[in-house]
Parts: sequence; C-alpha cells; structure tokens
Amino acid sequence: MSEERKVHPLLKPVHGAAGRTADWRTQTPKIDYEKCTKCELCWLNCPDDIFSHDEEGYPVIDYEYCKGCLICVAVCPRDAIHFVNESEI
Amino acid sequence: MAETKSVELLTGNEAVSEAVLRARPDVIAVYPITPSTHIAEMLAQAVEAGKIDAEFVKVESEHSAMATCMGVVAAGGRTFTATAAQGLMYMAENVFWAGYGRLPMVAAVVNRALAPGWSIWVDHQDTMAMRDSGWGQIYAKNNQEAFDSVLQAYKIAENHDVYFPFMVTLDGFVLSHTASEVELLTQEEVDEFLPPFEPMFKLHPSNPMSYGAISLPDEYIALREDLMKSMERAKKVIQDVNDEFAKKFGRDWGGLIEVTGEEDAEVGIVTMSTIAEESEVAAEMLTKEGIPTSVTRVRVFRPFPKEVLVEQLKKYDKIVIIDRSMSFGHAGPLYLETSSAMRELGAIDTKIYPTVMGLGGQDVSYKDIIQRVKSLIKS
Repeated sequence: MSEERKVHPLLKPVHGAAGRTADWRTQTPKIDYEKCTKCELCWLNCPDDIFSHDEEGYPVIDYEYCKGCLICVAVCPRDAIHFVNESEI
Repeated sequence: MAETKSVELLTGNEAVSEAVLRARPDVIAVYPITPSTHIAEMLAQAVEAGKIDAEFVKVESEHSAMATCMGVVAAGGRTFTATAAQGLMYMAENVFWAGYGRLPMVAAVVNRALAPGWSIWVDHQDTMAMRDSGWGQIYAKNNQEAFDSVLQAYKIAENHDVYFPFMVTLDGFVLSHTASEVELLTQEEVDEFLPPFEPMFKLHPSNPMSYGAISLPDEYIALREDLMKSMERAKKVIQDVNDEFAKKFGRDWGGLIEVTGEEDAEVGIVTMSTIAEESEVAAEMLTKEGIPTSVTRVRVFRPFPKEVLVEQLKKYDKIVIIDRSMSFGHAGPLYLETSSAMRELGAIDTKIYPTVMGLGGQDVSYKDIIQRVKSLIKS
C-alpha cells in the first residue's frame, strides 16, 4: 500500500460547534467589567456557549471558540460589551 | 450457488447478476429501470430464495437506492446497485456524494440514451454525464467482460490505495438483453480472488464519527487532492487486478486499454464498449482491403489512462475516434480527452479524425464503421 497520507471526509466529535472556531472571527467582543451587572443575558444568548463565569460571577469569553457573531453585544442592556475588529488587534 | 465452472448462455444483465451473487454483498438496493430491470429482478429473487445471505432493500427511487448503498459502505458493508439513464440522473446527487465521500462500491449502469426524445436504447450520454463524480468507470465490450469486470471492480474499489466507487457499464439491449456464452467462475474461485471487504473506517456507535461534514476551503482542497492522487494510483491497481485475473482465469481484458490487431497499423480506431468489438471486425476487413487498421479500446474511462493510451496511439499515422455520446456545443468526450492527452504528452504528429456514432441506440455495424473510417481518412 502507498505510504502517502490519505485524506477522507470524516470528522470525529470535538469540543465546540466545529472545532476551534476562533479563526472564523473577524470582530471580537470585549467586556467592560465596570459596566457589567452580571445579568447573564450574554451567557443565555450565546449560540456557541462560550461564556463561563469567574469566581465573582462575571462573564468570561472563551476566545478559542468565539466566532464573533456579536449577539452578546446586541443583547447587553448596559452596553457593557463592545467589539473591536480583528484586523485592529 | 454454482459448484462447478460452467459456460452458460446469459444476457448481459444475467451475467452481471451472476457476478454480484458471487461477490457476497451484504445489502443490495436497486430501483428497476429499463434496460437494467432484470438485474434487480434476478437479485431480488436470489435473496428471496435464500441463495445468498444478503438483504434486498426495496427502495422507492434511484436516489434512495444510492443513499442506502452509501449507508451500507459507511457502516463497513459490501453493496451493489444497478440503474440506467434517467435512473442514473435521478441518482446523480448521491452518485457524487458516494464518489466524493470515498465510499467504495460497485454499480452496474446499463447504458441508455437520455430523454427527451424518449429512448430506451443505448448510448453513453448517461455515464459520460457522471464522469466527474469521483467514480471509476469500466466499459464492458461483451457479457463475459461484464461478469469479470464486476468482480474486478470490487477488488479495485476496495483497495486502500484506491477507495472510491466504480461503475461497470454495459450497452443497453446490445449486451443487457442479448444472450451470449459466459464462462462463470465458481464461488470458491471468486472467494479466492475477492477477499471480504476490509473497510478503512466505518461508522459505529462505539466510535462516533461524522461523514462528509462541513469542510473549509483548505480542507476541501485536501479532500479533492486526495481523490486525484487516488485516481492516479488506481491506474496501477486496475492493471494489476486485470493481470491477476488473467493469470488465474485466463481472460485478459487489457486492463486500462485493449489493443486488437496489428500494433503498427496505419489507422487506429479508438472507441469503447460494443462499438469497439464491432470495430475489431471492421479493422480486419479494412486491413484486407489494403488499409492496415487496428483497434484501441478505452476500457477504463475514469481514471483516464492517458499514458498507456497515448503510448499506443502515437504508433498510428491516423486515428479515428468514435464517440457514442456528445458534449453539445463542443465534441465527443472520448475525442476531447484523447486529443488533449496527446497534446499534453507531445504526440502531435498523429492526424485525428473524430466522429460520433450510435446515439439513441442507432445500430453500429462493422459495415457502418468501415464506411465511416474510409470517408473520414479520405477527407
């Protein structure tokens, strides 16, 4: 048999919706913890479940998996989440 | 199952069915369509009578037939389907899925013209429309070759250096419904030639996987590059399997191409399937008339055997390429691919005469071929 590496269309289950999806992101959400009231709407609305909480209950973004859909920016009632362009980071 | 080797009078459809029975498929899923219907009938009957240990899935369409076959192979089983013309067109989405999804299986396609005008007779338009589907294509010239090629196709497709599906095609009615002598192999002979399928991977609840999920551009290109490399590797595997078969059972179909007649003839007829067998008679008579002619039959159209084909064709002064299908707005696919291969490999001195014959089941006899060759090479 040939020693060449063979590539077939198979995927094993992975963490995240489609593996490490951070490289899909063109805009990155940033949390302003001065404004955050820990209401958890961002956690509730995130389609990829990338929010966890720190010891004090503040939301933390997992940037390995955040695709940058910015739903969290839209739903935050305190304007505590804004975004920056990836190209400017 | 036959215990002794025997020669029987079989139609092409019967020859295909006899081969499938000996290949020990796990599941067969066929939706009947003229002129391939008899294959479905024979296999369903054999399963019902307990002649083989297989399941026959009575699907509601060709699309579902191929979907069933894909599931079987993905789960590690051996499978088979048969179809023709409109059936292949309806199956088409899943034909590409099976090819690009790298699911090795064998399908018999009984070549039939596409509608409209409604036709049940032979030409190669249906399988030529599937030439880019990631399937291998073997075109049989007679019923014996159809029987032998089905068995060879399983062995080639399941080879881990190949690992894509194959269609074995036979001309509608000319082969499918015409009986001729076919030497059958015993089950023991087939078992020795064709070992059980060893899947490279299979879907199983204990090892969850997803088949054919989303691929980003880089991954997609890697998949297609692998298919292209596998097609290239398949050329050697096809030849090796042909040679092994010839050594074991005494029948040599040439592997990728088959040359009949004097190798250094002045005129070469390049064609496929039954027109090639008819051309053998035409070439003999043309040679007697003082136009030394021989036949180069393209047995395998995918992967396209450009190296061996061009090596043979550059021996001729003139070649006549007979297509039994047409790429409307351009020319016949056999001509297009042959001439581009000759250009690519530097065989530019040979004069090429393309022609199209036998669309929609128009009978092509040796007399027609002689007449066509003469009128073309005079021009």
